[in-house]
Amino acid sequence: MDLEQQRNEVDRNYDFFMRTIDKYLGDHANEFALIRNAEIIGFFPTVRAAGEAGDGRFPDGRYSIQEVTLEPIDLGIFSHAGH
Amino acid sequence: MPVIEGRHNGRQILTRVFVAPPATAAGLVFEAGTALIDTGATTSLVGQNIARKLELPPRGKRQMLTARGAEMVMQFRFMLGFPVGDQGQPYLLDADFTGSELIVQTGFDVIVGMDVLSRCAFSMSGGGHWSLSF
Repeated sequence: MDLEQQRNEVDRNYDFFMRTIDKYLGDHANEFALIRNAEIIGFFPTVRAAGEAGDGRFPDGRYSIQEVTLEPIDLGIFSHAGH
Repeated sequence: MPVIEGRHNGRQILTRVFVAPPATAAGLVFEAGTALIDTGATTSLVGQNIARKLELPPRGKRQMLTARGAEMVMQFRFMLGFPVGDQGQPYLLDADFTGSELIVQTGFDVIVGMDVLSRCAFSMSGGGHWSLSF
């Protein structure tokens, strides 16, 4: 897999996902969206299910997975302490 | 039910962990590292060194709160394991996680967060003992 190409795919899909996430928060909150070419392929209950669907449908591995949430990651003490 | 247990030093709970790509027909490869058990972390994180060695492709992005403010980080899909038995054989959890890259200097290879801990019974005692029961 071309990692640079995959990184670009993730960037493009993320921009699309954040522009449209309001549509999914109601029915798909905390599910995992499988995305390719800035298009939602489906929603899955676990990241494993989303990944297996992506691997099965896209042998080139070019897809991304986004959890349907607006919550940022909190690292506890490491989110608040200087370093 | 596998039980992973150890001794804490009164300040931190550290354990050896194994990080693996999602299971593939090619077989299982993994990298070992030192992890901090962190109930304050909402998700688990993998250091860039391990992610690079395993060639984990980025699978998503998410904002992370840091002392510098919110920063965007790449997320990886991976499996996580713990040493069990006298030989410390890897016991891989039957789940994939979307951990993020560890961009904050913590001194650990992995942070085990609540996405993993919520799948097990976690206990610790004042006498220094801790355990994870899956």
